[in-house]
Amino acid sequence: MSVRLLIWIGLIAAVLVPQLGFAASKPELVKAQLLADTSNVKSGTPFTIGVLLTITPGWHIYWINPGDSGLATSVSFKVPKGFEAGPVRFPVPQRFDQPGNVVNFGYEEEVLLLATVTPPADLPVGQSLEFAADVKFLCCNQVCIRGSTKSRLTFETSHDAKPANEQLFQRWERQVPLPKPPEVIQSHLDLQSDGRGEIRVEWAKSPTNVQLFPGPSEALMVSEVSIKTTGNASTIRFVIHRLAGLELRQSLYPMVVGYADAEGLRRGLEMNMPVSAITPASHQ
Amino acid sequence: MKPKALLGSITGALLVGLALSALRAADQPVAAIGQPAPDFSLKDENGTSVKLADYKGKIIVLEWTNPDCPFVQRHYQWHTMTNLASEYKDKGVVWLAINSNGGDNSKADSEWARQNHLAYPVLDDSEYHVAGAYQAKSTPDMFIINKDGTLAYEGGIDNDPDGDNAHRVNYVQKALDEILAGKSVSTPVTKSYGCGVHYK
Repeated sequence: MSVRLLIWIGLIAAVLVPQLGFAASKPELVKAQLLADTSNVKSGTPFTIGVLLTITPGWHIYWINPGDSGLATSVSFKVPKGFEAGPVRFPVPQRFDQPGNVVNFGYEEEVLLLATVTPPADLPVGQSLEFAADVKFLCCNQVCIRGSTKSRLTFETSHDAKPANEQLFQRWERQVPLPKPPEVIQSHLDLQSDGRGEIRVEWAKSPTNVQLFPGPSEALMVSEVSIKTTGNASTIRFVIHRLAGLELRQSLYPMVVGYADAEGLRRGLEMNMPVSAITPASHQ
Repeated sequence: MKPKALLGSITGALLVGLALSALRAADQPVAAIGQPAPDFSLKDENGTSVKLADYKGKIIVLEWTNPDCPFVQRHYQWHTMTNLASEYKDKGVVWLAINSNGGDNSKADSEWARQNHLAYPVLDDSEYHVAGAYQAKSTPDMFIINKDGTLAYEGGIDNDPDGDNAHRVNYVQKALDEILAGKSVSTPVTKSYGCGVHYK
Protein backbone atom coordinates (compact mmCIF):
# COMPACT_ATOMS: atom_id res chain seq x y z
CA MET A 1 0.00 0.00 0.00
CA SER A 2 1.40 3.42 -0.87
CA VAL A 3 2.20 5.94 1.86
CA ARG A 4 -0.21 8.44 0.31
CA LEU A 5 -3.06 5.93 0.49
CA LEU A 6 -2.23 5.15 4.10
CA ILE A 7 -2.34 8.86 4.95
CA TRP A 8 -5.73 9.19 3.29
CA ILE A 9 -7.08 6.18 5.18
CA GLY A 10 -5.73 7.67 8.41
CA LEU A 11 -7.38 11.06 7.75
CA ILE A 12 -10.72 9.51 6.86
CA ALA A 13 -10.61 7.28 9.94
CA ALA A 14 -9.81 10.29 12.16
CA VAL A 15 -12.99 11.98 10.93
CA LEU A 16 -15.24 8.91 10.87
CA VAL A 17 -14.23 7.04 14.03
CA PRO A 18 -15.56 9.61 16.54
CA GLN A 19 -18.84 9.76 14.55
CA LEU A 20 -19.19 6.01 14.96
CA GLY A 21 -19.15 6.47 18.77
CA PHE A 22 -15.95 4.68 19.59
CA ALA A 23 -15.17 7.21 22.32
CA ALA A 24 -14.69 5.56 25.72
CA SER A 25 -18.00 5.40 27.67
CA LYS A 26 -18.23 7.18 31.04
CA PRO A 27 -17.74 4.83 33.98
CA GLU A 28 -20.91 4.28 36.05
CA LEU A 29 -20.95 6.49 39.12
CA VAL A 30 -23.01 3.97 41.10
CA LYS A 31 -22.90 0.23 40.43
CA ALA A 32 -25.61 -2.02 41.87
CA GLN A 33 -25.56 -5.70 42.68
CA LEU A 34 -28.56 -7.59 44.05
CA LEU A 35 -27.66 -10.17 46.70
CA ALA A 36 -29.37 -12.30 49.34
CA ASP A 37 -28.31 -13.86 52.64
CA THR A 38 -29.45 -17.26 51.42
CA SER A 39 -28.32 -19.49 48.58
CA ASN A 40 -31.81 -20.86 47.90
CA VAL A 41 -35.41 -19.97 48.66
CA LYS A 42 -37.31 -22.25 51.04
CA SER A 43 -41.10 -22.26 51.43
CA GLY A 44 -42.29 -19.93 54.18
CA THR A 45 -38.75 -19.09 55.36
CA PRO A 46 -38.03 -15.36 55.34
CA PHE A 47 -34.65 -14.18 54.14
CA THR A 48 -32.94 -10.85 53.56
CA ILE A 49 -32.39 -9.32 50.17
CA GLY A 50 -30.04 -6.40 49.65
CA VAL A 51 -28.89 -4.15 46.86
CA LEU A 52 -25.18 -3.38 47.23
CA LEU A 53 -24.38 0.05 45.85
CA THR A 54 -20.74 0.78 45.05
CA ILE A 55 -20.15 4.52 44.68
CA THR A 56 -17.21 6.07 42.81
CA PRO A 57 -14.72 7.53 45.34
CA GLY A 58 -15.26 11.23 45.99
CA TRP A 59 -18.99 11.00 45.20
CA HIS A 60 -21.92 10.35 47.52
CA ILE A 61 -25.61 9.45 47.41
CA TYR A 62 -28.29 10.37 49.94
CA TRP A 63 -30.20 8.97 52.91
CA ILE A 64 -34.02 9.05 53.22
CA ASN A 65 -33.62 12.57 54.55
CA PRO A 66 -30.90 13.99 52.29
CA GLY A 67 -30.40 17.10 54.47
CA ASP A 68 -30.16 20.67 53.21
CA SER A 69 -29.92 19.64 49.56
CA GLY A 70 -29.80 16.44 47.51
CA LEU A 71 -32.45 13.82 46.84
CA ALA A 72 -33.36 10.69 48.83
CA THR A 73 -32.24 7.40 47.31
CA SER A 74 -35.26 5.26 46.47
CA VAL A 75 -35.31 1.48 46.19
CA SER A 76 -38.04 -0.74 44.90
CA PHE A 77 -37.58 -4.48 45.34
CA LYS A 78 -39.51 -6.57 42.83
CA VAL A 79 -40.44 -10.03 44.08
CA PRO A 80 -42.29 -12.93 42.40
CA LYS A 81 -46.03 -13.44 42.88
CA GLY A 82 -46.93 -14.71 46.34
CA PHE A 83 -43.80 -13.24 47.93
CA GLU A 84 -43.86 -10.25 50.25
CA ALA A 85 -41.09 -7.70 50.56
CA GLY A 86 -40.98 -5.67 53.79
CA PRO A 87 -39.99 -2.01 54.02
CA VAL A 88 -36.48 -1.04 52.88
CA ARG A 89 -33.97 -0.73 55.73
CA PHE A 90 -31.45 2.07 55.35
CA PRO A 91 -28.23 1.82 57.40
CA VAL A 92 -27.35 4.83 59.54
CA PRO A 93 -25.95 7.48 57.18
CA GLN A 94 -22.84 9.63 57.34
CA ARG A 95 -22.94 13.36 57.73
CA PHE A 96 -21.36 15.45 54.97
CA ASP A 97 -20.53 19.06 55.74
CA GLN A 98 -20.49 20.76 52.36
CA PRO A 99 -19.26 24.22 51.36
CA GLY A 100 -21.76 26.98 52.07
CA ASN A 101 -22.85 25.51 55.45
CA VAL A 102 -24.81 22.84 53.62
CA VAL A 103 -25.30 19.67 55.69
CA ASN A 104 -26.21 16.43 53.97
CA PHE A 105 -26.84 12.85 55.11
CA GLY A 106 -25.89 9.95 52.89
CA TYR A 107 -23.41 7.34 51.88
CA GLU A 108 -20.07 7.14 50.18
CA GLU A 109 -18.04 4.19 48.83
CA GLU A 110 -20.52 1.46 49.59
CA VAL A 111 -23.92 0.77 51.14
CA LEU A 112 -26.24 -2.25 51.30
CA LEU A 113 -29.95 -1.38 51.33
CA LEU A 114 -31.92 -4.26 52.81
CA ALA A 115 -35.40 -5.77 53.02
CA THR A 116 -36.93 -8.93 54.45
CA VAL A 117 -38.60 -11.16 51.92
CA THR A 118 -41.20 -13.74 53.00
CA PRO A 119 -41.84 -16.57 50.54
CA PRO A 120 -45.27 -18.22 50.34
CA ALA A 121 -45.76 -21.46 52.29
CA ASP A 122 -46.33 -23.74 49.30
CA LEU A 123 -43.44 -23.24 46.91
CA PRO A 124 -42.62 -26.16 44.64
CA VAL A 125 -38.98 -27.24 44.81
CA GLY A 126 -36.67 -26.72 41.86
CA GLN A 127 -38.36 -23.58 40.56
CA SER A 128 -36.29 -20.70 39.27
CA LEU A 129 -37.35 -17.30 40.64
CA GLU A 130 -36.28 -13.82 39.64
CA PHE A 131 -35.93 -10.85 41.98
CA ALA A 132 -35.05 -7.32 40.98
CA ALA A 133 -34.09 -4.00 42.57
CA ASP A 134 -34.76 -0.64 40.94
CA VAL A 135 -32.73 2.13 42.53
CA LYS A 136 -33.05 5.84 41.76
CA PHE A 137 -30.44 8.19 43.15
CA LEU A 138 -28.74 11.56 42.98
CA CYS A 139 -24.95 11.26 43.03
CA CYS A 140 -22.96 14.38 43.84
CA ASN A 141 -19.38 15.56 43.94
CA GLN A 142 -18.71 19.06 42.62
CA VAL A 143 -21.75 18.53 40.41
CA CYS A 144 -24.82 16.36 40.85
CA ILE A 145 -25.98 13.67 38.47
CA ARG A 146 -29.27 11.81 38.61
CA GLY A 147 -29.15 8.11 37.86
CA SER A 148 -30.84 4.78 38.22
CA THR A 149 -29.85 1.14 38.27
CA LYS A 150 -31.68 -2.11 37.69
CA SER A 151 -30.21 -5.29 39.13
CA ARG A 152 -31.50 -8.85 39.10
CA LEU A 153 -31.00 -12.02 41.07
CA THR A 154 -32.20 -15.48 40.20
CA PHE A 155 -32.65 -18.24 42.79
CA GLU A 156 -33.80 -21.78 42.89
CA THR A 157 -36.38 -22.99 45.38
CA SER A 158 -35.19 -25.84 47.56
CA HIS A 159 -35.90 -27.93 50.68
CA ASP A 160 -32.83 -26.39 52.31
CA ALA A 161 -31.72 -22.81 52.40
CA LYS A 162 -28.03 -22.34 53.11
CA PRO A 163 -26.73 -18.97 54.31
CA ALA A 164 -24.84 -16.86 51.78
CA ASN A 165 -22.93 -13.54 51.98
CA GLU A 166 -23.14 -13.83 55.79
CA GLN A 167 -20.40 -11.36 56.67
CA LEU A 168 -21.67 -8.74 54.26
CA PHE A 169 -25.26 -8.90 55.47
CA GLN A 170 -24.27 -8.98 59.16
CA ARG A 171 -22.00 -5.94 58.73
CA TRP A 172 -24.75 -3.86 57.15
CA GLU A 173 -27.67 -5.18 59.23
CA ARG A 174 -25.76 -3.99 62.32
CA GLN A 175 -25.80 -0.48 60.88
CA VAL A 176 -29.59 -0.33 60.54
CA PRO A 177 -31.00 1.88 63.35
CA LEU A 178 -32.93 0.03 66.06
CA PRO A 179 -35.35 1.18 68.76
CA LYS A 180 -33.20 -0.58 71.34
CA PRO A 181 -29.64 -1.30 70.16
CA PRO A 182 -27.46 -3.29 72.59
CA GLU A 183 -25.25 -0.25 73.41
CA VAL A 184 -28.23 1.70 74.82
CA ILE A 185 -29.31 1.13 78.44
CA GLN A 186 -32.13 3.63 78.18
CA SER A 187 -33.25 6.59 76.11
CA HIS A 188 -35.77 9.33 76.73
CA LEU A 189 -37.34 11.97 74.50
CA ASP A 190 -38.76 15.23 75.88
CA LEU A 191 -40.55 17.89 73.87
CA GLN A 192 -41.61 21.31 75.16
CA SER A 193 -44.53 23.30 73.77
CA ASP A 194 -42.10 25.90 72.37
CA GLY A 195 -40.51 23.26 70.11
CA ARG A 196 -37.39 22.65 72.22
CA GLY A 197 -36.62 18.95 72.30
CA GLU A 198 -34.15 16.80 74.13
CA ILE A 199 -33.07 13.20 73.70
CA ARG A 200 -31.17 11.73 76.63
CA VAL A 201 -29.31 8.48 76.13
CA GLU A 202 -27.67 6.34 78.77
CA TRP A 203 -25.04 4.11 77.19
CA ALA A 204 -23.61 0.77 78.34
CA LYS A 205 -20.21 2.10 77.26
CA SER A 206 -19.19 5.62 76.26
CA PRO A 207 -19.76 5.88 72.48
CA THR A 208 -17.91 8.06 70.00
CA ASN A 209 -19.11 10.37 67.28
CA VAL A 210 -22.72 10.81 68.40
CA GLN A 211 -24.75 12.54 65.68
CA LEU A 212 -28.40 13.35 65.08
CA PHE A 213 -30.13 12.41 61.82
CA PRO A 214 -33.68 13.80 61.69
CA GLY A 215 -36.02 11.65 59.61
CA PRO A 216 -37.74 12.78 56.42
CA SER A 217 -40.77 15.07 56.55
CA GLU A 218 -41.98 17.80 54.23
CA ALA A 219 -43.83 19.49 57.05
CA LEU A 220 -41.40 19.33 59.98
CA MET A 221 -38.21 21.36 60.38
CA VAL A 222 -35.45 20.45 62.85
CA SER A 223 -32.84 23.07 63.74
CA GLU A 224 -30.41 24.25 66.43
CA VAL A 225 -29.01 20.79 67.09
CA SER A 226 -26.45 20.51 69.89
CA ILE A 227 -24.95 17.29 71.24
CA LYS A 228 -23.07 16.76 74.47
CA THR A 229 -21.65 13.44 75.68
CA THR A 230 -20.23 13.17 79.18
CA GLY A 231 -19.10 9.73 80.26
CA ASN A 232 -21.90 7.26 79.55
CA ALA A 233 -24.63 9.84 78.90
CA SER A 234 -25.48 11.94 75.85
CA THR A 235 -27.87 14.90 75.68
CA ILE A 236 -29.06 15.80 72.20
CA ARG A 237 -30.93 19.12 72.06
CA PHE A 238 -32.83 20.45 69.06
CA VAL A 239 -35.76 22.60 68.01
CA ILE A 240 -38.60 21.12 65.95
CA HIS A 241 -41.54 22.92 64.40
CA ARG A 242 -44.43 22.25 62.08
CA LEU A 243 -44.34 24.26 58.87
CA ALA A 244 -47.61 26.11 58.24
CA GLY A 245 -49.83 25.18 55.35
CA LEU A 246 -48.26 21.75 54.81
CA GLU A 247 -49.98 18.43 55.37
CA LEU A 248 -48.51 16.17 58.03
CA ARG A 249 -48.88 12.67 56.65
CA GLN A 250 -47.37 10.78 59.53
CA SER A 251 -48.39 10.16 63.14
CA LEU A 252 -44.83 9.42 64.27
CA TYR A 253 -41.67 11.28 63.33
CA PRO A 254 -38.43 9.26 63.44
CA MET A 255 -35.05 10.63 64.47
CA VAL A 256 -31.88 8.56 64.42
CA VAL A 257 -29.07 9.01 66.91
CA GLY A 258 -26.00 7.72 65.09
CA TYR A 259 -22.90 6.64 67.01
CA ALA A 260 -19.82 4.45 66.72
CA ASP A 261 -19.71 1.30 68.84
CA ALA A 262 -16.67 -0.15 70.64
CA GLU A 263 -15.36 -1.55 67.33
CA GLY A 264 -15.79 1.80 65.60
CA LEU A 265 -18.69 0.51 63.51
CA ARG A 266 -21.55 2.93 62.94
CA ARG A 267 -24.86 2.06 64.59
CA GLY A 268 -28.12 3.87 65.20
CA LEU A 269 -30.78 4.41 67.85
CA GLU A 270 -34.19 5.10 66.39
CA MET A 271 -36.46 7.43 68.38
CA ASN A 272 -40.04 8.10 67.34
CA MET A 273 -41.86 11.29 68.27
CA PRO A 274 -45.66 11.63 68.15
CA VAL A 275 -46.28 14.49 65.72
CA SER A 276 -49.32 15.70 67.67
CA ALA A 277 -46.84 17.12 70.23
CA ILE A 278 -45.05 19.29 67.64
CA THR A 279 -46.07 22.96 67.51
CA PRO A 280 -45.92 25.56 64.72
CA ALA A 281 -43.00 28.02 64.54
CA SER A 282 -43.40 31.35 66.33
CA HIS A 283 -43.57 33.55 63.18
CA GLN A 284 -46.71 31.69 62.13
CA MET B 1 -29.65 39.27 94.82
CA LYS B 2 -26.31 38.83 96.59
CA PRO B 3 -23.34 40.65 94.93
CA LYS B 4 -21.58 37.39 94.02
CA ALA B 5 -24.71 35.98 92.43
CA LEU B 6 -25.31 39.27 90.57
CA LEU B 7 -21.75 39.24 89.25
CA GLY B 8 -22.21 35.64 88.22
CA SER B 9 -25.41 36.51 86.37
CA ILE B 10 -23.84 39.45 84.57
CA THR B 11 -20.82 37.35 83.56
CA GLY B 12 -23.13 34.59 82.44
CA ALA B 13 -25.20 37.00 80.36
CA LEU B 14 -22.07 38.50 78.77
CA LEU B 15 -20.74 35.06 77.89
CA VAL B 16 -24.07 34.02 76.35
CA GLY B 17 -24.15 37.29 74.42
CA LEU B 18 -20.63 36.74 73.12
CA ALA B 19 -21.41 33.16 72.19
CA LEU B 20 -24.57 34.19 70.33
CA SER B 21 -22.76 36.89 68.38
CA ALA B 22 -19.99 34.44 67.53
CA LEU B 23 -22.57 32.07 66.04
CA ARG B 24 -23.56 34.67 63.46
CA ALA B 25 -21.01 35.69 60.83
CA ALA B 26 -19.62 39.11 61.73
CA ASP B 27 -21.85 41.98 60.54
CA GLN B 28 -24.02 39.64 58.53
CA PRO B 29 -27.79 39.89 59.00
CA VAL B 30 -29.59 36.56 58.73
CA ALA B 31 -32.89 36.42 56.87
CA ALA B 32 -36.01 35.37 58.77
CA ILE B 33 -39.71 35.39 57.89
CA GLY B 34 -41.30 38.70 58.85
CA GLN B 35 -37.91 40.36 59.30
CA PRO B 36 -36.25 42.87 56.91
CA ALA B 37 -34.58 41.02 54.04
CA PRO B 38 -30.79 41.54 54.05
CA ASP B 39 -29.68 44.15 51.53
CA PHE B 40 -27.02 43.31 48.96
CA SER B 41 -25.21 44.58 45.89
CA LEU B 42 -24.04 42.07 43.26
CA LYS B 43 -22.90 42.22 39.63
CA ASP B 44 -25.04 40.64 36.94
CA GLU B 45 -23.74 38.54 34.01
CA ASN B 46 -22.86 41.74 32.10
CA GLY B 47 -20.93 43.23 35.02
CA THR B 48 -23.70 45.68 35.88
CA SER B 49 -24.20 46.35 39.59
CA VAL B 50 -27.63 45.37 40.96
CA LYS B 51 -28.72 46.44 44.44
CA LEU B 52 -31.70 45.00 46.29
CA ALA B 53 -32.41 48.55 47.52
CA ASP B 54 -33.00 49.59 43.85
CA TYR B 55 -36.30 47.68 44.07
CA LYS B 56 -37.56 49.12 47.34
CA GLY B 57 -41.35 48.94 47.53
CA LYS B 58 -41.61 46.07 45.04
CA ILE B 59 -42.31 42.37 45.52
CA ILE B 60 -39.00 40.63 44.75
CA VAL B 61 -38.31 36.96 44.02
CA LEU B 62 -34.77 35.69 44.59
CA GLU B 63 -33.98 32.45 42.77
CA TRP B 64 -30.78 30.64 43.70
CA THR B 65 -29.61 28.93 40.53
CA ASN B 66 -26.78 26.89 39.01
CA PRO B 67 -26.71 26.05 35.27
CA ASP B 68 -24.89 22.78 36.04
CA CYS B 69 -27.52 21.45 38.44
CA PRO B 70 -29.93 18.81 37.00
CA PHE B 71 -32.84 20.17 39.09
CA VAL B 72 -32.31 23.70 37.69
CA GLN B 73 -31.91 22.27 34.19
CA ARG B 74 -35.21 20.39 34.46
CA HIS B 75 -37.05 23.54 35.60
CA TYR B 76 -35.56 25.56 32.78
CA GLN B 77 -36.54 22.88 30.27
CA TRP B 78 -40.06 23.14 31.69
CA HIS B 79 -39.87 26.99 31.81
CA THR B 80 -40.99 26.90 35.45
CA MET B 81 -39.05 30.02 36.50
CA THR B 82 -39.12 31.90 33.22
CA ASN B 83 -42.91 31.53 32.83
CA LEU B 84 -43.52 32.58 36.41
CA ALA B 85 -41.15 35.57 36.11
CA SER B 86 -42.83 36.66 32.92
CA GLU B 87 -46.41 36.25 34.17
CA TYR B 88 -45.77 38.11 37.42
CA LYS B 89 -43.60 40.83 35.86
CA ASP B 90 -46.85 42.25 34.52
CA LYS B 91 -48.10 42.33 38.12
CA GLY B 92 -45.03 44.29 39.26
CA VAL B 93 -42.92 41.42 40.63
CA VAL B 94 -39.14 41.69 40.22
CA TRP B 95 -37.19 38.46 39.58
CA LEU B 96 -33.49 38.12 40.37
CA ALA B 97 -31.49 34.92 39.82
CA ILE B 98 -28.36 34.41 41.96
CA ASN B 99 -25.47 32.01 41.35
CA SER B 100 -23.40 31.35 44.50
CA ASN B 101 -21.06 28.77 43.01
CA GLY B 102 -17.39 29.45 43.70
CA GLY B 103 -15.03 30.57 40.95
CA ASP B 104 -15.72 32.71 37.89
CA ASN B 105 -19.34 32.24 36.88
CA SER B 106 -19.65 35.20 34.50
CA LYS B 107 -19.17 33.21 31.28
CA ALA B 108 -21.47 30.36 32.38
CA ASP B 109 -24.09 32.86 33.59
CA SER B 110 -23.99 34.88 30.32
CA GLU B 111 -24.34 31.73 28.28
CA TRP B 112 -27.19 30.52 30.52
CA ALA B 113 -28.98 33.87 30.23
CA ARG B 114 -28.56 33.83 26.45
CA GLN B 115 -29.69 30.19 25.99
CA ASN B 116 -32.77 30.70 28.11
CA HIS B 117 -33.58 34.20 26.80
CA LEU B 118 -33.69 35.41 30.38
CA ALA B 119 -35.54 38.65 31.03
CA TYR B 120 -33.99 38.83 34.49
CA PRO B 121 -30.36 39.15 35.61
CA VAL B 122 -28.15 36.34 36.92
CA LEU B 123 -26.21 37.83 39.83
CA ASP B 124 -22.73 36.61 40.78
CA ASP B 125 -22.46 35.66 44.44
CA SER B 126 -19.36 33.47 44.09
CA GLU B 127 -18.10 34.72 47.47
CA TYR B 128 -21.26 33.23 48.99
CA HIS B 129 -22.00 36.41 51.03
CA VAL B 130 -25.65 36.75 49.97
CA ALA B 131 -26.32 32.99 50.13
CA GLY B 132 -24.93 33.12 53.67
CA ALA B 133 -27.15 36.06 54.66
CA TYR B 134 -30.26 34.30 53.34
CA GLN B 135 -29.09 30.80 54.37
CA ALA B 136 -29.76 29.58 50.85
CA LYS B 137 -28.85 25.89 50.80
CA SER B 138 -29.68 24.43 47.42
CA THR B 139 -30.32 25.22 43.79
CA PRO B 140 -33.08 26.00 43.26
CA ASP B 141 -33.85 27.82 46.55
CA MET B 142 -36.49 30.56 46.48
CA PHE B 143 -37.10 33.69 48.58
CA ILE B 144 -39.88 36.26 48.26
CA ILE B 145 -39.50 39.75 49.68
CA ASN B 146 -42.69 41.70 50.31
CA LYS B 147 -43.28 45.34 49.36
CA ASP B 148 -42.40 46.41 52.90
CA GLY B 149 -38.96 44.81 52.55
CA THR B 150 -39.64 41.87 54.87
CA LEU B 151 -39.09 38.23 53.96
CA ALA B 152 -42.43 36.58 53.13
CA TYR B 153 -41.37 33.17 51.76
CA GLU B 154 -38.34 30.91 51.80
CA GLY B 155 -38.00 27.38 50.49
CA GLY B 156 -38.53 25.21 47.46
CA ILE B 157 -40.01 26.23 44.13
CA ASP B 158 -42.49 23.39 44.63
CA ASN B 159 -43.09 20.05 46.37
CA ASP B 160 -41.81 17.98 43.46
CA PRO B 161 -38.12 17.04 43.67
CA ASP B 162 -38.56 14.04 41.36
CA GLY B 163 -40.53 15.92 38.76
CA ASP B 164 -43.39 13.43 38.82
CA ASN B 165 -45.73 14.62 41.56
CA ALA B 166 -49.33 14.40 40.33
CA HIS B 167 -50.25 16.89 43.09
CA ARG B 168 -47.54 19.42 42.38
CA VAL B 169 -47.87 22.74 44.22
CA ASN B 170 -45.77 25.69 43.08
CA TYR B 171 -45.17 27.36 46.46
CA VAL B 172 -43.74 30.53 44.90
CA GLN B 173 -46.80 31.06 42.71
CA LYS B 174 -49.10 30.35 45.65
CA ALA B 175 -47.26 32.88 47.86
CA LEU B 176 -47.18 35.55 45.12
CA ASP B 177 -50.94 35.19 44.57
CA GLU B 178 -51.59 35.59 48.29
CA ILE B 179 -49.29 38.63 48.59
CA LEU B 180 -50.91 40.29 45.55
CA ALA B 181 -54.35 39.65 47.06
CA GLY B 182 -53.26 41.35 50.27
CA LYS B 183 -53.38 38.11 52.25
CA SER B 184 -50.69 36.67 54.50
CA VAL B 185 -48.63 33.83 53.03
CA SER B 186 -50.20 30.55 54.21
CA THR B 187 -47.04 28.49 53.58
CA PRO B 188 -44.15 30.85 54.39
CA VAL B 189 -41.47 28.16 54.82
CA THR B 190 -40.93 24.92 52.92
CA LYS B 191 -37.93 22.68 52.45
CA SER B 192 -36.01 23.27 49.27
CA TYR B 193 -34.47 20.47 47.22
CA GLY B 194 -31.68 20.42 44.65
CA CYS B 195 -27.90 20.56 44.42
CA GLY B 196 -25.75 22.17 47.14
CA VAL B 197 -25.67 25.94 46.72
CA HIS B 198 -21.92 26.61 46.79
CA TYR B 199 -19.25 24.51 45.18
CA LYS B 200 -15.76 25.91 45.27
